[in-house]
Parts: sequence; structure tokens; C-alpha cells
Amino acid sequence: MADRTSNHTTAATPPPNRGWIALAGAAAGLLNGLFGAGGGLAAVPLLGKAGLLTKAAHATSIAVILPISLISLGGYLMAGHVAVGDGLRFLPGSLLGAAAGGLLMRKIPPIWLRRIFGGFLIWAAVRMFLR
Amino acid sequence: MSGMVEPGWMLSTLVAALAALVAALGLGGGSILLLILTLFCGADQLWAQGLNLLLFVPTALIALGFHIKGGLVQPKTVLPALLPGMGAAALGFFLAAQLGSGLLSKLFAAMLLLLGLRELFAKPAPPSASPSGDPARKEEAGR
Repeated sequence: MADRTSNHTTAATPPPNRGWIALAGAAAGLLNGLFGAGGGLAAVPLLGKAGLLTKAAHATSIAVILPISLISLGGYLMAGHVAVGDGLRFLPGSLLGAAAGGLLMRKIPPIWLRRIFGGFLIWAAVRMFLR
Repeated sequence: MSGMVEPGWMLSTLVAALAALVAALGLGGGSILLLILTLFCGADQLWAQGLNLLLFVPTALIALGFHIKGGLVQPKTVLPALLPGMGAAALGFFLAAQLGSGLLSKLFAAMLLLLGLRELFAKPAPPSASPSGDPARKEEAGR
């Protein structure tokens, strides 16, 4: 019986397509190394093509991007672009926000978040171009 | 961080919390932190990108704890992505170093514009069967 709030793959669903997953990893990795951000925005739709349901795709993108981020971060630290201590003043907020997001994942309707986020990105892009 | 207006602890906490919240929902919230630091605080693009990566690590660990407990993440869907992802990350980092902060921020802006348009015009999954290839819709339609 379909449960519209269910976001898990079940035994009845086909196994995820490894090719699309590999592509999701590569796209996320490239953006992650190049921009230090944006990997999830590439990974989520590609994981969807691999057969993952929406929230599983969002959650899995985090699992994929975490080890990738460690590689990129290693590069940035070694090149001296950033130091570990630079993150201290942002850390309490990050931890709070992460916990809140983790708890909220099941309740939030994704579509409105996407639209608001999309609007913000466009505004930001215009500002960056004009800088 | 030279040349940058450092945000105070309260603003840093608020901005980081917002970015981490969005990141924990898998919506690419890292862009928010990066944008606020570069646009409002005058931070260098490469420094802001590095900081973003740094803060993502604890954020992702906490978020993943919740998502794994909720059954949203399966190892078989993560493993095929790892090697290509790590190789591509090394390539991306190399390219970033070649481009430098100035060009990189313009390229980043172009990416944001495209992604923003996609998100803004995203369609919700319809309640009934749909010809779309979205597996979420197929899942709902097939029962």
C-alpha cells in the first residue's frame, strides 16, 4: 500500500542503478572540489534517476558528499586557503542547524523549500555577477 | 581572512545554523553560508569555499545520524558514488586552484543562476499517475 509519506526504498522496488549513482558521485565531487558547495544540488536529481525516492535521495546525497568533502577539504587546508580554527565561531550554529534539519526532514514538504531556495539562489547569482 | 568584515558570534551562529539546517535537508545549504560571507562580509572566494567544506563535516555527521536512523540511507546506494566522487573532487580542487578566486566567483554565480531557476520552477509530484520518470511518482502510481 503506497504511503505518500514513505521515503524509503522497499524490498519491492528495483535496486538502485549503479551507473547513475556513480555519475551522481562524480558530478557532486567536481562541484565540491571546484566550489566547496553545490554538490548536493547535482547529486539529488541524479540519485533520483538512479531510482531513489525524494527524501532518500536528499539524505543519500549527504552521505556521498561527506567523504568527498574530506578530500576537497584536505586540498584547501594544505593549500592554506583556510585554517581549521577559522570555523570555530560558526561551529555552534552549524551543530544546532544540523540537528534541527535532521529532525525536520520527515515533516517538511520539499517543494516549497526548493522554490524559496531557488529564489534565493537567483538573487544571489545576480548580486555575484554585479560585484 | 584579511580584508574581510568578520561577522560577530551572534551573526555567525545564525548564518551557520541556517546554512546547516538547509544542508541537513540535502538542499545544498552550503551556498548560503558562502554567499553571505562573500557578498556581505567581503570574504575571499577560496577561503569561504574552504570554510564551507570545513563546517559541512560536523553538519553532515549529525544530519546523517538522523537520516540513517530513519532508514533513508543504504550503503549499497552510497558505495558506487565514492570512488568517482573522490576522483572528481581532486580534479575540481585542481581546477579551482588554476582559476583563482575572481574567475571562480563568476563561475559559481553562473552555476547558482542555473540551479536557482531549476529549483524555482520545480514541479511537485502529482497525486496520481504521471508519465514522468520520477521514481517517487512511479512509486505512488504503482500501488
